[in-house]
Amino acid sequence: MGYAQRVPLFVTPSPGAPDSPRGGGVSVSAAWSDAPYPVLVVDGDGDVVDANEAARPLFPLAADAGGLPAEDLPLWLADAHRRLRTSGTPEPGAVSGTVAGRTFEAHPSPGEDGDVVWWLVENTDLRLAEDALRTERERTELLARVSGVLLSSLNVDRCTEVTARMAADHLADAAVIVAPAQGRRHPLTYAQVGGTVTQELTQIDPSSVPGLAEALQGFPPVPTRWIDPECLPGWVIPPGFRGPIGSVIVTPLPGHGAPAGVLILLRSSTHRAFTDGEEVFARLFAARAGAALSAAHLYAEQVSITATLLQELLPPRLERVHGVEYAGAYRASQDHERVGGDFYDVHPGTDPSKETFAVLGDVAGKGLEAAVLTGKIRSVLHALLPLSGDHQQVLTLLNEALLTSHHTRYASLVMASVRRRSGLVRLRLTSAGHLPPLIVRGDGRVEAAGTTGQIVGALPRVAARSAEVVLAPGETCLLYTDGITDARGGPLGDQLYGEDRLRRVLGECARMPAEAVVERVQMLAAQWLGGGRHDDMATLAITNPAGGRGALHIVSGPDDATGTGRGRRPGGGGR
Amino acid sequence: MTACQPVQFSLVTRASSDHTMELAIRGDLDYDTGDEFLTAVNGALDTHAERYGPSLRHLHVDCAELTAIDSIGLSALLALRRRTHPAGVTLHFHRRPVHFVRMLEVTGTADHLVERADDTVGTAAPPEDRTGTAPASGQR
Repeated sequence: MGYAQRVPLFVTPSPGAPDSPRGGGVSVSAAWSDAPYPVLVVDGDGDVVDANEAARPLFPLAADAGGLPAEDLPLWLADAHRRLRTSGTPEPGAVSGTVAGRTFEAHPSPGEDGDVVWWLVENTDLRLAEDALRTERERTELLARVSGVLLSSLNVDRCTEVTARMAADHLADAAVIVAPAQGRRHPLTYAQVGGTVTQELTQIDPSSVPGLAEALQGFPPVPTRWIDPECLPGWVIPPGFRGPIGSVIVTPLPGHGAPAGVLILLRSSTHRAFTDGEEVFARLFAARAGAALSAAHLYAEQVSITATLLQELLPPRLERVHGVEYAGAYRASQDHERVGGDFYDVHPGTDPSKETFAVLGDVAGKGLEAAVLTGKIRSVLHALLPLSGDHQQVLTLLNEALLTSHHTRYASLVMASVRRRSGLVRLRLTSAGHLPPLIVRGDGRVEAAGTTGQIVGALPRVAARSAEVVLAPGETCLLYTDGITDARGGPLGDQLYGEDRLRRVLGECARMPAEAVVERVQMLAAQWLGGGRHDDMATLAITNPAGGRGALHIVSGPDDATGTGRGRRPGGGGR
Repeated sequence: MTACQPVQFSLVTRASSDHTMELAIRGDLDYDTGDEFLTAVNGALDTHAERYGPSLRHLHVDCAELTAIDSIGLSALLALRRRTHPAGVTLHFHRRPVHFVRMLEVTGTADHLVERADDTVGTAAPPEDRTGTAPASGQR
């Protein structure tokens, strides 16, 4: 298909009238002059020598001057024409470009005398539709990304930061997030395109920005055209933002019930103003960000409530009291929980001649619900301390305090009244429906304390039999919950740890410090479990120190690190 | 997680007449199944009461296939006793596995659970002040 080869390259200005196509080929003229598409005849030098009716509104010069110089042809068409002339073959695929704000595809066909007839097919609407589709796709993808990024964090600051950055990067030149007031001040988060995100706590006047006060209460956004950028107070402009503000959008971040804050989008005056479509999109963006922020706020609130409650429910620190070692360890049934249905407490006697009251117990159930009941029991027992000389009376009063009409959640516990006198530790032990404490003798024998009794909180009356136990130096009394003996695991995965294994382990713990005993018991039970499910596990060791009071005093005197465990968290090994 | 395959918990009504009902527990009665047990046993008691009126006197529970029981399980049994005892129904636990016996011993609840109920409740004209005259409904 050579066009160029057949014709000499010379210029023939069109002398003819526009309506009489050059060359006089009636059939050719008829073929395109009435065509519904714009048609241009371009000669070898790129000058338009003729155009049909449909082309004239687009190329005005073609009509009156009878031609259009090459330099007035749209660049994309002139280029295509030149390439066609040099290569002699039409390019694969149509060339396209804009003419008078509309877009066309141009298809060449050979004309006479080496001219090329360009058929222009308009595709403006298609192009607009494609552009709109692409924009929508980008927005949808952005929204999906916003949700993805925001849902991956429940941290309020992090969510706010991400929201501000994404808003600045994708919606505007800069973004400000005004969070609900904390006291008199509002947390503000600033972000700019490509810049860092800064957060500060400032006292602002919400009424200084049109629509802000309303948006903070969750009312619909103010249309962007109502906001005069000139009137914006200084705090709205992010620090370091250059250039005057051209347009502003203020839109609430809707939350669950209460607004999570307000998003202010700023565009500098060198950029175009926000369109209606962008405003709608900003609202969609704000809806997603608001939901995420609100969830983060709720979560933060719950965490702080839980933390407050937990402070009261956590196992206490134990330490040496009046020459007797106490050590406790606790492992909640869920490894991520710190509280559960087991508890222990040690209430030191006011002076060495007074008994120290220790208790370890287990509430039916797991988790926070159980923990709340342990809190109640611990409070009641604390209040009953003056009566702790009489374990039966304490049990009776505790039982009455716990009996409720609506459930039969009960507790089992062991009480120990401890006093050290002339090197021996005397214990009065009372089990209330709990596993009897195990006594580790100096020679490795392990015996169960002979105390039995009934659980508290479920029966109308409780009875218990106490046992007196004396610990020589190096001997330990271990109080433990059934989470230890009922630990299911072992080589086959389904065996109970059982009391026999516990006794064997304890036999090796003679003359060990209290802390070492609980750590060893907890560690071996945890190993037995492997990764299996388990109940709460608590242990409390009461030990008559092997070295005697004097010896240990010398050791702990000069070197604080070898002290008696004072200040160390109990149960560190169990978590 | 563990290698063992636990028996699916179930409560089966073996037989019932106007004065007695026999149930069988199968599987673990524990933290996960305690509520299920209470719902099932309350349902059985309600059904019995609808059919025979407040005439039930003995509830026999076969524990041969009770594979494990924990504190919530015992709590559920105590809740059952709290409903049946005032209604004049005495509980009986048969073929108790060792672990169940041990649990009742340690907690000191064996006698309480099977304490003989006053079987005149509901039949003769009951005293006005006594609770549990309607054994099927109250106590919830």
